Amino acid sequence: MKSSFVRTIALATLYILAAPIYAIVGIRRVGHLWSVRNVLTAGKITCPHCSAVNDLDVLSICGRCKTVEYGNRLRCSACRNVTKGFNCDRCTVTIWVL
Amino acid sequence: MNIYDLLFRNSGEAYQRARVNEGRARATAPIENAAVAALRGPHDFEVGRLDDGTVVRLAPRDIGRHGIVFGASGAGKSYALHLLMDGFAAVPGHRVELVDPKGESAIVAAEQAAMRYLVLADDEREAFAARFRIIDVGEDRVTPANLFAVPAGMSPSLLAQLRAAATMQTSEHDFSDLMAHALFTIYSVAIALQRGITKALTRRFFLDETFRVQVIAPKLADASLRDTVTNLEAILPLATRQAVVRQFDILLSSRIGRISFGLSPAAVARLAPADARAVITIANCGASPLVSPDVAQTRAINRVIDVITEAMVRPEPVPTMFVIEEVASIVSQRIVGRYLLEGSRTARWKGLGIVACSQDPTTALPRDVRHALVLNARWLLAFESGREDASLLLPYIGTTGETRADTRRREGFLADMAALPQQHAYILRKGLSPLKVRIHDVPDPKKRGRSRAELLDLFARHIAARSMVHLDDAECCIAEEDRELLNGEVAPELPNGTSNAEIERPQNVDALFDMLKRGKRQGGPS
Repeated sequence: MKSSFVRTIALATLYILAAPIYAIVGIRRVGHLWSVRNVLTAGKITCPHCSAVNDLDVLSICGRCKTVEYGNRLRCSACRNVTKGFNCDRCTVTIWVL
Repeated sequence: MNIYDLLFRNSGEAYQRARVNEGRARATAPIENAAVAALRGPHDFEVGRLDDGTVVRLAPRDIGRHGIVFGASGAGKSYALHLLMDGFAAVPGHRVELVDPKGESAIVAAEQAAMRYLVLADDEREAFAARFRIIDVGEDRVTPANLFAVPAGMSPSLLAQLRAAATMQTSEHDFSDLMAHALFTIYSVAIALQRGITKALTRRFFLDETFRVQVIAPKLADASLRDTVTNLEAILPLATRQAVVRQFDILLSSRIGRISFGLSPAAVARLAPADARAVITIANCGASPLVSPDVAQTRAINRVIDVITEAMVRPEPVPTMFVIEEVASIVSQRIVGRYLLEGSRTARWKGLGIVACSQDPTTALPRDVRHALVLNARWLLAFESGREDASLLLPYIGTTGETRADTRRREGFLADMAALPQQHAYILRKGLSPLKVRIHDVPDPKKRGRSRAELLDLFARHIAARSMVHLDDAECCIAEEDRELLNGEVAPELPNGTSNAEIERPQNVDALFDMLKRGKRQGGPS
């Protein structure tokens, strides 16, 4: 009984101690997703290397199921595969979006 | 559902944006084909597409140079020519001249002009119609030809030679040297007096010595011509003069013939004053129930002479695209052919680009003319053609024919040319590889709910009528000038010595020789 109580207290303490770190990670993740959402809404992203503006919505081919479709180049609507980045159209440097 | 489904949930918008982005990327993508890129330039216009969908645009700077268009009948030459002329004339300061002995290209141009006229606002129509000068023949109207005006800087003698050559084209009759001289003389006189040629004038001039010596000769400033006219009796036998009079009788038997040859430069200027706004001249010289093929062809040749002369003597270069349909029928008179070739060599720097069109240039054109035209041409547009005509492009497809692969390529090219579908053509600018192009469609009147007859009628009434005159007005003018020159006297009749009843028929060989000796002594025709 006593040992069970101590284990619960210890776990709660750990959660309390880790909570700020989770909060920081969570806030950062939400911030990242917010910026990704803005990029996806704008439909274009600037290459960090050559500053070329790359369109996200193009005629693209899925790397997994090879479906060719008009739509976002990061996600295939057929197999729902999501790619986190793509190569810049001008300088071919990989641009990480997600 | 995960976070990505939330992020990418707007797939419909992404689709629409992707379509737009792809279209923009295709339009602005660098052109991989060097020939397509080289043909583009300022004021370029779409002429067709390659098989891969690449748009081929032509800059007027290239098609304003000499060119050749050839291919089988019905392959799409007339429509392609319309696109070229339309694109060229769209540039301010450019001019287009079309001489069409068939009448087909002229009709296409008329239809398209009428369709454009219809969609214009009322206040824009006048300026649009003023852009055209139409040389044509209608039921009650005709565009008067200015045959006897000598452009500044041109020799009257050369003009007389050219007009005589064009007239010789009107008859199947084999013109002798003497008849050619008679034609040259009457044209020289008409040009010197600034008069038209009428039936009365030809009869009085050739058959009435008193009229020649007392009325015509004193009015001639050129001593050499005066001498020829005074001594015409000795230079030309009576039979030759009668033969020329007969030829003119036939030529001037129709109203169109009389007006084409009978109007003086002053009368033409009075009846149909030139409009400086006209930049597109369409000479429809096709034969019709109103005008015989011979007269139509003479009108075409005379127009070609006029355009080249005008270009040669103008002080400043004016970019002019001069399209000659059925060029073989124009160059059949040697002097006209040579004049055209000289024009293609020397009038270039005055801005004249001659576009020679023919169905089968290798067989229809004399060898030297064809050689010179191909040599001087900057570009060629080849529709479905046989081996001989297609061979004109072989020197430019980049094969030497020395290796087996080269031979295969040449044979493949010739086979492809022979099987080109309608409205497909090879465009070649010298120095670039040829492009196989599907020529752009021209607007179809039927799709706009208009019939061809309706459009042509509208064109005749609102655009062509501006440069044409009433037949009655023109004939009145000619009659007035005739009265003035002939002083009311009646033209002499041809001697009635050629009826079958009066022909002396030899009974035997001796009688035939007697007849021939008598004829020789009298200086008559042999």
